[in-house]
Amino acid sequence: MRVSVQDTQTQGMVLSFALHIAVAVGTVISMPFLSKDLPEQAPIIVELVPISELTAAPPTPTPTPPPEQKPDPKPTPEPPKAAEQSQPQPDQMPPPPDATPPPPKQVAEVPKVPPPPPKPKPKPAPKKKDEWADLQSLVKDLEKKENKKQEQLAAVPSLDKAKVITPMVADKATMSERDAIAAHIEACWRIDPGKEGIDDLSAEVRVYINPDGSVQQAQVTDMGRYFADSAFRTFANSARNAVLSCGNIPISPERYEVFKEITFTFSPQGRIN
Amino acid sequence: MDPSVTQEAALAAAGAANHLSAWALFLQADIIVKLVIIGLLLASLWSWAIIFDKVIRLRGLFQQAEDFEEKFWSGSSLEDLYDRIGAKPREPMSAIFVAAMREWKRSAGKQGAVNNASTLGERLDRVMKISLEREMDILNRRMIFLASTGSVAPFLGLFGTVWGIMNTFTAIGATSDTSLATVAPGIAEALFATAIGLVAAIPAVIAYNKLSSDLGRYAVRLENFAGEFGAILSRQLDVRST
Repeated sequence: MRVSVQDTQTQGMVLSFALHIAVAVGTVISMPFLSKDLPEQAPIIVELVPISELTAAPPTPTPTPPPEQKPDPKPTPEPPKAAEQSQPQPDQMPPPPDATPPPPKQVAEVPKVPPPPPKPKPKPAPKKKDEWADLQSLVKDLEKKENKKQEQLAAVPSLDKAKVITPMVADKATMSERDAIAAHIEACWRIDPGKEGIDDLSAEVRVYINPDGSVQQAQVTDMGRYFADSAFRTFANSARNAVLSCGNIPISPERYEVFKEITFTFSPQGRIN
Repeated sequence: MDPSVTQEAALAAAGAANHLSAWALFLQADIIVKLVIIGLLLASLWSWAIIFDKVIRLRGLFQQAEDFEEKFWSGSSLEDLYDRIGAKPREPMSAIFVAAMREWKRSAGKQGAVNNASTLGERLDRVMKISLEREMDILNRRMIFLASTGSVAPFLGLFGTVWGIMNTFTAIGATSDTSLATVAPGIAEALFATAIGLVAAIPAVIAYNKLSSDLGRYAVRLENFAGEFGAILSRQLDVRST
């Protein structure tokens, strides 16, 4: 009658299986309830641009800057020429490398021509040439630097715009569309942020939108509090009026199905989510 | 950008988010990571089987030891008790008792009179000690599996994780796409292996500590009983020899 080793072992195995299966089933069943909703992406505050322009933005900026910049580099190289032309004397004078060769020639000529007359002539000349040449090279360098800077400035932003804007629109269009609508309504919303007890107020308004963007209906969701609490009623009315009085809501017709019913939360800090 | 395209992208993203459940992670994993996870699950299964087995058996053993000691000290004749238990002891304590009694009876029966009391006492002690060790050996069996699961499972899980992350980086290198969407599933699936390793290891370590301390207590109890019984028998020998 000894407690058989086999007995407890099989018992252990069975219990272990049962435990593991229970845990697995438990996780599978409870997972959907336990898993929290993924946090909504933080709204990106976008400039108040109508959606149609924002979505159309990436193609337009990229073509437009190049034509503007292409003319730019062309005129900019010209100024040096103009500068050269405006200063005919330095231009006609040979640049520094040219200035150095003459001395050997003069040296070569030295035996032929009497030395005194040529010497005085070349001496002032190279000096002048040198000064002019230095100036000229300085001016040219400055101009080149400026040109380069301008080119860099012109080139970099165009690339940045193209790179930054397109993914933003592509990835987060939905979010910014909703934000654009919220911002649109926010512009029409007038509240007194200093009113007493307004910090506790937060109203949800469900907005039904027609395909053309006009507001079909705006309902305050918490009707119980709406009737019970006069401060809340005032607040909710202001929110509702903001929606109704704001005119057509900027939605694109293709996205109508997504945005035909939106619930916005009006919070006292003047923000709409 | 075309709105339908963005919609599709949003749908795809939502679909990807749904595929991070444990089962999906397992299915997506590399074959080696899969093997590691399966191995860890089997280890967890087996270690829990051992835990349940030992816990149930130890609880029974303490209870039976209690019962046996009550009978033993009740004052009834030890011969009666020996006859009642018979040749099939139910538990280690009665097994020690039976072993000692058998040895005693044999020696006493053959010789008629006990002339070599000291050697018989030694023999009885040795018999009890051997019986005790055999019983403890049976009880301690498989405890080593718990100990090694507790120490090795995290490493095995870590191996799965490292392997999975290596694969992820290889994938990044191959596609040269470093967006979070490419990296995240691989890392999640890799970390899953470590999670399973820890799930297997933590109960094993706790149970090992608890069970080995319980087994130690039980062993001490058996030793005490053996010592007391040996004392009783040697007193009996002295009485007889005088």
